[in-house]
Amino acid sequence: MSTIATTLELSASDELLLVERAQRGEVEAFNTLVLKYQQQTYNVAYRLLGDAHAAQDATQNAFISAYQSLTQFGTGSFRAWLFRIVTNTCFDYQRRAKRRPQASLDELTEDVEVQVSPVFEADDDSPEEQAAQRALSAIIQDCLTSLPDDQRLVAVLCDIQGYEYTEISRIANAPIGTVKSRLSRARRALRDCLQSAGELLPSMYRLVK
Amino acid sequence: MTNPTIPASQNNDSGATPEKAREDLSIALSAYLDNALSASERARVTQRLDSEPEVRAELERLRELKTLLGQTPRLTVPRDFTLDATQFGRIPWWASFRTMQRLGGIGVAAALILIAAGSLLDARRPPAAPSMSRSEDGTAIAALYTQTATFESTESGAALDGIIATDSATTEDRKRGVPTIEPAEPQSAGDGSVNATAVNATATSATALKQPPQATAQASPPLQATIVLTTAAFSGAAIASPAETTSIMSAAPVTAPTEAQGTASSDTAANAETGSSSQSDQDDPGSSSIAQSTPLPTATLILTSTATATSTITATLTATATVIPITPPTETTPTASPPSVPLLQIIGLTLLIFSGMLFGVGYMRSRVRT
Repeated sequence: MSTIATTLELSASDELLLVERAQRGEVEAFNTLVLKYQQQTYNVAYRLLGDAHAAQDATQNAFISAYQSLTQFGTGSFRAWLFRIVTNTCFDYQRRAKRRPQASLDELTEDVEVQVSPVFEADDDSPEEQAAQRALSAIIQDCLTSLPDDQRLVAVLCDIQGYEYTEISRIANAPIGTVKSRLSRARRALRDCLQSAGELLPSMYRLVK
Repeated sequence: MTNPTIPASQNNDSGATPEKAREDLSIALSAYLDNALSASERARVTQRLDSEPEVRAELERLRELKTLLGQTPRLTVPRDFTLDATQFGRIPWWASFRTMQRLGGIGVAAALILIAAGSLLDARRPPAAPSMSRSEDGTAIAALYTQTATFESTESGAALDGIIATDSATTEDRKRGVPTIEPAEPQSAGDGSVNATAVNATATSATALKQPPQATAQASPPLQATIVLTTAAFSGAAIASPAETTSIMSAAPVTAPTEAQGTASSDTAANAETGSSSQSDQDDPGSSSIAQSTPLPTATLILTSTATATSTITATLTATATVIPITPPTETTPTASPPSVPLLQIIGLTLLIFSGMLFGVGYMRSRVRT
């Protein structure tokens, strides 16, 4: 699958200017922010939901929600504010799926015929490496899905996305102490899960102990 | 949670349970890994890491896990998630669907008020408007609203005059070619309830008949009117065959006996006049008329006057006059001026339609948007 997506690098001051312009109703300014964050947003959504198609829908809805409630953004980290909306959107999506047990996440999406498989960034790797990455991604995703929502969120934000505790605290709307304990429990559970996967993990990714 | 074999702190001064102590150490190690501890917490963990190999091993396991999770493949976005400016661009307040909805609602309300006000004004309007005139002698004037008159003459120079006239019919009326209904003198002083009214239908020429004819019926002050069609005469060029003139004036309900019916009212001076090009005067023997009196003020009079003249040279005159309604003499009916236009209601209705559409569009689109 060819990708047409764009990723932008923006300085903090540029970002703030864009936010102010977007708050005045300039869609183009907001779209610049979308281009900067869509990659992270889509990845977080995918790891929270475990489904590429659902992640697409959630990402789009999250950006729409963010634009529509942009006037509520005051000061602080725009990324933290944005990802709070993203996580809320994802969990809403998940709840709707659970309320309809017969309907999978795929069926919640508008376009059920198109089966979307995740496309990884390192497409230039060798086929063996790509296969190993897909296997690792799938196993990690299975283990993440087995976690409670709050633990899955902090694990994704910290260990997969690499966010700081303070930012995670804002996104999760929880004190840092709570973030720490959730993360600790999530890591223990993930390690147990990945160890039990054992042989399923590619050899290069196997946990030693 | 099967794995942690971290010993609880040996110098645990908090007095917590071993499970709680292990939990605290696990959290501390996790935060230590992320360099998220305060200096004092960090010093305490470092001290235990130095002295306790199990704690060190636990930290290594956590580090390995973090490294592995950090290698989680990143997904590439399948498309850009930018918003459509035409869909999400901020539109001016006056173009927003919510504003359309509000304006439409206000317009509907204003329209209803206009219509209500117009109806109220109409209801309070005095019954005698200036246009509803009375004649000088106080007789009411009834309007002849609809008339049709067709005139055909296949012979070029022939003009047909169909006259249903009384002696009171004026020359001007005839010259205008206007069928008129005019008051006649009271026929009998003793019978004051009924006044004779004559019908004068005149058709002087084809051109005159093409004009929209008028007819007026005038009733004497007594509250009853009897329209007497005395006679009808047709004269046309070379009229040989009997021409028929039918004049029907009906009113319901009939309360008074008819003053005169048909040719019985010969005392009202039936005239047969010739047209300008007529060669001979010939009274039309086929004429008939029916007149009925009516109780006013609620009477509706319908006069149908049909005159047909056929001749050997094929000249045909058809004149139809219809009188509706004749209002009571006390409440006069407008003669020349058209009925008053309910201007407020028309404006209100127009506004209602426009505002309703505006409201509808705004409502539908705002629902679609949400």
